Amino acid sequence: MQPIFVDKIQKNFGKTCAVDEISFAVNNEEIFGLLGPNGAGKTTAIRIILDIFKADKGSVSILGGPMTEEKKDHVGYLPEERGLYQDMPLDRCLIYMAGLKSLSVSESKTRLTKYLDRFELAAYRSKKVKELSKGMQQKAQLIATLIHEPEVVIIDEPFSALDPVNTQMVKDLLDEERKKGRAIIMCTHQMHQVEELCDRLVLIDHGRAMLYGTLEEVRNRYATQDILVNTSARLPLKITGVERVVDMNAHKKLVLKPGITAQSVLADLVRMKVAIEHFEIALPSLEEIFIQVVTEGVAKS
Amino acid sequence: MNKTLFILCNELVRTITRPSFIVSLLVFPFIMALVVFISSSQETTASSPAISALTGQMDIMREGYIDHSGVIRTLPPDIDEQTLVAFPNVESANQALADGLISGYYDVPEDFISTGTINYIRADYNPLSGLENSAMFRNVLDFNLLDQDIEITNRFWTPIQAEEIALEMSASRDATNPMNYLIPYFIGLILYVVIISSASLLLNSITTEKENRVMELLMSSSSPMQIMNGKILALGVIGLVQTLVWSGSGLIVLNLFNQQSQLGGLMQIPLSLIVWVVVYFLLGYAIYAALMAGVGALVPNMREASQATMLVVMPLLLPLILSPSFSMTPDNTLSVILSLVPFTAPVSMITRLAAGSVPVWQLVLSILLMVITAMMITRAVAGMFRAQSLLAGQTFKLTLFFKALVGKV
Repeated sequence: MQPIFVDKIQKNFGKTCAVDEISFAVNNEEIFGLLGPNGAGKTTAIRIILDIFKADKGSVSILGGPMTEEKKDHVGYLPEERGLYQDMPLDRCLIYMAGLKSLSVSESKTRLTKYLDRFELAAYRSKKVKELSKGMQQKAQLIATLIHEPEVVIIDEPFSALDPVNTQMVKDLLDEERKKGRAIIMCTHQMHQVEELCDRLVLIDHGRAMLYGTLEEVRNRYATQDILVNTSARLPLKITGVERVVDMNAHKKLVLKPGITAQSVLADLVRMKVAIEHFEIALPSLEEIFIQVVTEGVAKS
Repeated sequence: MNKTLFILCNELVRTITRPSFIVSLLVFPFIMALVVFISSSQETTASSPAISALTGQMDIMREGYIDHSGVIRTLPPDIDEQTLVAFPNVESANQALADGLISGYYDVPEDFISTGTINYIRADYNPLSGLENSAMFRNVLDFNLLDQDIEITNRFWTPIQAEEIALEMSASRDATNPMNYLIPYFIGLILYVVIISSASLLLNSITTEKENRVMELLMSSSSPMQIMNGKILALGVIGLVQTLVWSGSGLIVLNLFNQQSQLGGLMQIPLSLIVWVVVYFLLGYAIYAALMAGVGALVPNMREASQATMLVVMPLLLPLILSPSFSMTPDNTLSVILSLVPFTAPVSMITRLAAGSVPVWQLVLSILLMVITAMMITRAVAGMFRAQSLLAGQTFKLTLFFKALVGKV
């Protein structure tokens, strides 16, 4: 059973279609990237999954069926718009948040102590939330998301306002949660974090799913016939089947003529006795794919 | 724990631990005590130790008298000659006054029996501490006029101790007694303040959550109805406590200062009025809290809410403005109409009840109408209290609010 199954959901606000027949599924032990430019419909899709909004069409299955009040206790949510009670002491605020997920006060206190230690917030537990830095509030918000040990975690931009040390800590934490078997949906604009963490992804633009699959599948789909090569000596001026050579920082990129395969170019280089140190099919980065898909989408619209 | 109950408890703790709430809960009884204290001082200038303290005179001041009429032959047994000193002539009395031996003296002229006029002479003008022992000197004169019979004098001072038995429930109003409209006005004012402050707390709570952006988190854990019910119930409990503390302390203060015999209007206020105050608070709160929740659902912040709040509370303010008229003629047509209209009923009906009696059918009808209205508004507001409204940051429009109330949005 997939803990999250989204089937052709659609949501209109007046004449604007925010989400247009999007479908995807998230497995246990998986971090799933929900990507898209600003205003693409990611937040609306999340709110439909959480049953905050009702879909006009389509359906969502959470933990084996429609969302219920009881199931909300098994979902952790870090919204894009961070929100905590600014005038409340940190510990009281987080215990209240945990209580809303049906966690008892005593259990909340026990878990909170562990989390505050881990996030280096123990010294600030009695401080009012508004007295904490933005980064600290971000960490507090993450605690509120995870303290009740949810089976499904939905996090929107989890790394914003975090320094590199805390970013790494959150990454480790998400990895731990994945290993515990949680189904995690992560929204972010930081493509290198998606490449590093996500197992699969969906890219939404103008409310529609543009890409869906594993990271490898998506990159292969956008792969060109280009090759990245690193040699100890200079490359020959003329290589059969190569249209041009582009200098990159560490490598040279060989742009192939149509119909030419990487294997034939490799064979030619070997035949010419070129000492090859590195040979790689040039797969596009996720960022490049993202820009390409979104730009094409804009051009079409 | 049930989530509505959990939200209720949190809301309770958040509100009652606020210093501003604690201060407002205590300040009102204090102000009331001060008002009663000052009014009581005007009634009992001579005998009240409290007013003596206020005027800086802890002990009853020694005074003198000159009797040209020959009425005063002896002093009553409870007044000694050190407290009220007899002087043979004006010169000796003035000398004692100049020496500070007495604070003033009464000059009883020869024609006192025919005119009833006496003079009080003191060294300077003091509006608060004049005629310190006038009640005592009147007692002296009465005692002598009544042939020095102390029992008859006492009966003359308190001739009857009447127990009122009303055959009809309608009350007659004494237009000359300011308490007859002041007391109903204050009780109506208390109810107005409690209903509006509780409903405003609700509005404030919702807008604070919007401004702190926790609404989305709350809705991922509970339903909008659970949030609304938890908040309405919590602030209703707080308002009820406020009502009981304020009205209860009001009665205690009045009793402490022994005002019931002097504030004529108060004699007609039964203790059961507090029960009516509680009933009308609950119903009034249900209506206005639901309206405020609706405003809160539609506004992005507290600043945007101010325009709507003014219009929402206007109906409750109207009977307060008309309160003096209600108090003197509680059964006039306007009073009856306003005490039946659910939006004006809380303050109107309580003002009428404080001013006199109200026919049972009017009470029943008014309560019935308020219950129906509260249910209808709560239902309409529940429709407004949904995710789309709560998460939107749109500018508040009054037309949108009224359309939403009648279910046309």
